[in-house]
Amino acid sequence: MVKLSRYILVFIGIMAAAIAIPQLYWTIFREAASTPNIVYSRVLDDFMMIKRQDGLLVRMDAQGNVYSRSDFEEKLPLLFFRQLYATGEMPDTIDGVPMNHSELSLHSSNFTFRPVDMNTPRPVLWPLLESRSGRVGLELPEDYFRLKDRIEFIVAETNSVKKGKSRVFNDALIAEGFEFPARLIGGLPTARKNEEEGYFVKDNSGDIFHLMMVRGEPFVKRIDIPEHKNIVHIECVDLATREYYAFLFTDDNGIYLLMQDEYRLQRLPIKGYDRETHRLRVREDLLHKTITITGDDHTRVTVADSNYKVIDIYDDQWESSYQRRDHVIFSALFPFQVNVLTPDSRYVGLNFFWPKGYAWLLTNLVFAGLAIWQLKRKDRRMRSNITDLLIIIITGIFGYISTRVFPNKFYD
Amino acid sequence: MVKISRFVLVIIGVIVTAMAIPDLYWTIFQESRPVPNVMFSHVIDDFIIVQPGEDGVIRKDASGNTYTSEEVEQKLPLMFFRQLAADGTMPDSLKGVPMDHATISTHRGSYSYIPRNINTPEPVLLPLIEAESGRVGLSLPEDFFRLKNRIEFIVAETNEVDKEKSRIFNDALLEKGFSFPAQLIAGIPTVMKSKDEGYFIKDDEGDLYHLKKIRGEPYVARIDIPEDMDIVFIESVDMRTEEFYAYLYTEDNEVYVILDEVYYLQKLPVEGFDRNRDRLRIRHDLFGKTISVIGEDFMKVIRIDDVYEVIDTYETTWEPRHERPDHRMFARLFPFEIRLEIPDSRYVGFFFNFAHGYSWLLLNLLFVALAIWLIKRKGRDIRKNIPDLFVILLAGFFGFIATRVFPNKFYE
Repeated sequence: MVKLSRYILVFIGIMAAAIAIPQLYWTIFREAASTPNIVYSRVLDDFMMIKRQDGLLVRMDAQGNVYSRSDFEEKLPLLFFRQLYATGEMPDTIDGVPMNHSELSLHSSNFTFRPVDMNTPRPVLWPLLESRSGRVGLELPEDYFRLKDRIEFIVAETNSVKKGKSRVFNDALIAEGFEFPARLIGGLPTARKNEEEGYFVKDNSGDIFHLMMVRGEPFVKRIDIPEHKNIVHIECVDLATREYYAFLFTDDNGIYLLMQDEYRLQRLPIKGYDRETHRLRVREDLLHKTITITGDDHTRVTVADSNYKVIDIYDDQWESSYQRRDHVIFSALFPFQVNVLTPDSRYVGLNFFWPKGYAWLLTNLVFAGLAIWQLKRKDRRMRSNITDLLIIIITGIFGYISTRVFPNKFYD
Repeated sequence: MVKISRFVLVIIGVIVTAMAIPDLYWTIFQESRPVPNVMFSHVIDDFIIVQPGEDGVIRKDASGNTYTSEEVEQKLPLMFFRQLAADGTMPDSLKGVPMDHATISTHRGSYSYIPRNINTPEPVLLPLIEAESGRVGLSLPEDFFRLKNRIEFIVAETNEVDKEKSRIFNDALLEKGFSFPAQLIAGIPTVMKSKDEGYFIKDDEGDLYHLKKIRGEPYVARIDIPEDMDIVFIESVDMRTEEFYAYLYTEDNEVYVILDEVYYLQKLPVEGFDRNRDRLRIRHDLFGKTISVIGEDFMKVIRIDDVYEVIDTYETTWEPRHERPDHRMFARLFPFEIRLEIPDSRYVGFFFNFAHGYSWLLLNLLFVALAIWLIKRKGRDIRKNIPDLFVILLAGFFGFIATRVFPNKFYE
């Protein structure tokens, strides 16, 4: 039993070391990888990018021509219109389309979505803002709702359920065919937005329902979702153009836009997206939608026109993080790493990270050799310490430290 | 020794329960008392007080007349001009001044001070943003500076000191008479502001310096500070009217603003303000400022015009915290509480809150009696449990729990 309790301590020591030491390593040795910023130039009809080369930012086009900052901005009037208007270099028309500051500004938007945005604890109480109050600004209501097996509005001040309002909204959902329990909910629970569009809720049968409060009354609209489309995440946006309400992410890594007012699903023209590992960026300007999917070692930029018809695609590839020097050295030193927090999740947990290859085995054997030498020097029996040596071979420096901190005293 | 180790455990137990149980108590019983919102109306030349109460919101002026929500908005056209314009009830002029939306909007602003603003960890690396780049927006530089015994710019990418730039800026500071080490530094280290005004730095002699970077070159201005003025805190603001750069707080609780360009220190009429206890709420509008000093049980509102002359004042008091039912009940139950975080500080620590009065003594004595009864029932010797009884007498409920969780087994 005492031996067992020592192994528990050794195990805790290994976990602690596998959390702390790699953290220290990365703080000192991490090389910041920079991903290129790729945009589409309507002037060149080609892609342009800002890349970091040898520590310097370089502006270039897809053919490799290098541009100065002002030349670069001139080729991208839809993006840098504010600067170009200030310097008087903004063209009056582009491809026959008249340019106008407020139109350009209205159509400029930027949406980013990372795996961490999905792997995150979700609120269970939401404010349903009045969408047509007749007031200039939006205001937070005095009650918050929860929606699972029914919808219930809870008054924040008294913490009691508003029975009447809850019943009215519940009935409105049921009247539109909502099947409880609710599976997903997406919305923008803030008063700092252009417009209140309420919430989009996935019901038990997989359909999406639009829920709003209009002059105190419920507004519910059912949006039929085809059988095979399993929506796993709803991310609402607040576009000045009011083009669409939300991004819908499906199980098979498709992304759909839920178009405003017509409630039609518009598929984003992308392939090869993986919501668990890729970053997504949708940048819109007056004439284009630029969709960028960025993974660990590659990026794919798809530029589409305002009808989501693909104009051009650009692929870029670089060294994967596993090939970078800091990772190669890491994998030669440590057999694994335990992270309490990971960049892809807002949950806390014990996340194991395994480096590629077996280069760490050599370091582990060196530590095992060191442990044997220490045992010999102290004239201890090798056989009684076999377990310790095995632990060191498997866990390397973590096991070595842990077995030293909690030494094996039972065979002294 | 074993007895001491038990008392160490008992103390830890007392500390843990003194954190956890009051936390639970406040979660359940804390009553929120909203502070009234006091605004100055140039329509009626009087203060308007909006006070959320148990039977809804009370809206009145300082003379006692009550108003509806719409009437309040009409009396405060400088605040609610957007809503009034939407309703078509915005006056064309007020006090002979034409009501121009852009001007009203530019002059609107608010500032708030809470003791937490001072009691906070300060960053030691700050970006010095180019103030006159000729670009539309501000952009972050690639280096950050630290300023203590000298100024040093460190390139973020390589983590190296930019020696040349550091020397130039250091010389510029020395030339204006700056005496190192710097005592305080304040600025707005973000690009999300209307313009860059660099940093205000207090030197070793108590004088104030303004440091900016203009087209790559240092700009340093010295602001002489009277001998007897000891600045303890500076908070920069980003005003669209370019009226002043920053708020200054002095050791004897005076508050000044540094007027833009002229570097004149303008004193604010906030007699009775205590920076370690009170809050400050300042609202700007086209005609002046409304300054509210908010303490635990009082509020003093001062209306000043555009040349900082006092126009009117309003004072109100309410029951102090310790007389509120939730705090009175707390004081009967617990002799003290320990908090890791308090509203007045962003630091984590062991903050003791002692209950007001001695009404907790009764409950503590009850727990002592209960402990004596428990000891007697088990036929133990009271004399050997004297220290335990003392712990319970002082720590009440917490001590009772801690001495039960870690029982006194040494006299069995």
